[in-house]
Amino acid sequence: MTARTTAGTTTRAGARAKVEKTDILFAVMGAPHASDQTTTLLRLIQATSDAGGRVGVWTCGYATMLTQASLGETKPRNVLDWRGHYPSTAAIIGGLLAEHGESVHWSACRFCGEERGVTEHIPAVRVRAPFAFADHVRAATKTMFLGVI
Amino acid sequence: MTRALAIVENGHRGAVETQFADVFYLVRELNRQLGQLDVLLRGAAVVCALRPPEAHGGGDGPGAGPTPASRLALGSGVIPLPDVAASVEDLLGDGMAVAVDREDLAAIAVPAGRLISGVAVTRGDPARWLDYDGVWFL
Repeated sequence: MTARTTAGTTTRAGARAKVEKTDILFAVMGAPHASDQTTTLLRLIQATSDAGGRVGVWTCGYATMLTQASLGETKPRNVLDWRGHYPSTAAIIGGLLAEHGESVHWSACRFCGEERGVTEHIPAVRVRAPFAFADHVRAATKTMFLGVI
Repeated sequence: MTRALAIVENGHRGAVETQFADVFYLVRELNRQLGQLDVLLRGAAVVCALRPPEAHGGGDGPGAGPTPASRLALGSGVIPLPDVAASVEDLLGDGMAVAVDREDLAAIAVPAGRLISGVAVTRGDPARWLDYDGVWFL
């Protein structure tokens, strides 16, 4: 599968990837579009990072779709604002990670993504096996869950 | 022409994801394609028919709080977010009848003058559904 080869790091059975220490891990379980969870998440990431904190993000379920590469750079055109610029969530998160790459790390659950057809993420996102989740929790001082699968 | 009642119970879903393509964008398009749509805002969605507090001088009560920003500054970028009050005015501008549920509006103690002019306050009970060809929960 493409997802196994395009992730920044690939875990293999028996070889656990290194997980950066973080001050807070956001475990994002709820689906995008259903609530303002994603908006809240991005605000929390920015606020934590601006305060000098280290942030980890782990997406499960439909939240893995936020960073799928097939979203491209922009949303479909707004027929009521033909010249408007509306970035995709993949582009928004890619920009965030480009600006805060040292302090913000974004991982996506491989199982959840593949179960929902997310075969390729943007390059800054690491695809991790479900059993690596506990490593991310242990590497964080606090873990906050957002939504449910 | 199909006459339908569109019922919206939550107007704030995925601001960053939708940016412009929120439930009211869908309502406008359905109205354009199918004919006359009436819109009923009930539950938490009644707040969508409120003007921003700065537009009327503020006030007290739960309904006097600020409306969500219509832009999100994130890093060096600015992301446009839905402006639901402007969207409700667009619905009215398109000729749609927009109403809010009386009891749900009362529950949030909205200061006088906060409701967007042209929005009706009605009983949102199912008895009215018989007047329509369709009732759509959006």
